[in-house]
Amino acid sequence: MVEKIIDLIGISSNSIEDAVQIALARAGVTVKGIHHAHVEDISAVVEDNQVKQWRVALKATFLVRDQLHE
Amino acid sequence: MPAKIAEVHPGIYEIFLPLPMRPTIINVYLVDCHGAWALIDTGMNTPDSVATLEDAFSQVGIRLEDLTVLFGTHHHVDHFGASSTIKRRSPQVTALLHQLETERINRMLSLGGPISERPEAMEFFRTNGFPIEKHPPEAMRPMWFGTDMYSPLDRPDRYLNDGDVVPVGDRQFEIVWTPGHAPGHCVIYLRKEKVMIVGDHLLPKITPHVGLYPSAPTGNPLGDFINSQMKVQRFDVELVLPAHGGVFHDHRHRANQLIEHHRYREAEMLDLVRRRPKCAFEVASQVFGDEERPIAHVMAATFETLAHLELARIEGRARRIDRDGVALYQAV
Repeated sequence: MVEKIIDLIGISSNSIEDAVQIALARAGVTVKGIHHAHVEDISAVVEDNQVKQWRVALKATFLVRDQLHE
Repeated sequence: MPAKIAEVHPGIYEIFLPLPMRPTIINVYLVDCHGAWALIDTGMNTPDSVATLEDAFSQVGIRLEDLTVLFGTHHHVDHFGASSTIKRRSPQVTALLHQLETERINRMLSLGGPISERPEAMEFFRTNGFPIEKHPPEAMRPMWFGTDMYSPLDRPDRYLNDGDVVPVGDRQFEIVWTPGHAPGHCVIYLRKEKVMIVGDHLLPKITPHVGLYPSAPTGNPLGDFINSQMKVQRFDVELVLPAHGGVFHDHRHRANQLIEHHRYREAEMLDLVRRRPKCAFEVASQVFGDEERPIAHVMAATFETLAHLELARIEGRARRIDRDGVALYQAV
């Protein structure tokens, strides 16, 4: 069994949780079966002393499934 | 122009027709029904496209005049734009289209004048925050609008309905109504061959545009589109024949990808309207826009964004606030 890890950065104007969720939703369009996400880094873009964007770097893990020729 | 064709299944020919815009090619399909011939979609009504279609017919040994049945998947210019030319050349052909598409055709053909003289259209742009003062809608009309490049039949010989089985020669064409990209969009299923001709419903590389428009401002086209993606998965298909891009095999995989894509887009849009409500134009500019992007694309993006926000509103994930004549959406 092999698992694969991809690096993602989720961006949200709302919250850290939303940034994670958006990254996973986009990854889910092309990658099936992500079962684990590890947050590596959190940063924020600041304008006028306010957080404009949360940026969350994370590693998402999924199981590599082989497709057998029928 | 010599036509490029490919026999993608015994007796089913994919014909590549040129378009004067992006995407630059549309695939139409000619089906040998052994004693009869069926064509699915027509291409645009340009001399180049019609000549290419004729050349493709000659490569399989027939003429336009030999056609028996013409199916239109939907009313768009690249799909049904040359239908009146084909009917004129082949008066015996039975042309088939969904009734809702015929209504759209008649609406499109009646919209000849400037948009600025259509109060309901101007109202639509203003309500959704689109800066029509800065970008006059006239300047963003597609190049084919109001020209004979779009010459659809304003009335088919018969309407297509969901579940119809249309016999042509020795083949059976099953009609699956798939609203979303257009309200009367249909895909055509050949059950025995396990082939599905999908029009713009399932494209392998690009996502079909789904929107609300000045001429059709209400409804839930994105909800319809997602339901239609689930609907086609009930069919047993081995070969998918799209109108743009290459033929492919796994229709369920692609349908699920398209559903996931729209879920992601909605999450992205709702994130932008969680703290403060915004109009469709502002959301579209942030999700799709950049300074390089032509304003016509941002307009199309606004139509698609609106379809997303309306789906979220209908399903209780967003609410609409009318403020000074502008519709603002906020996540709930």
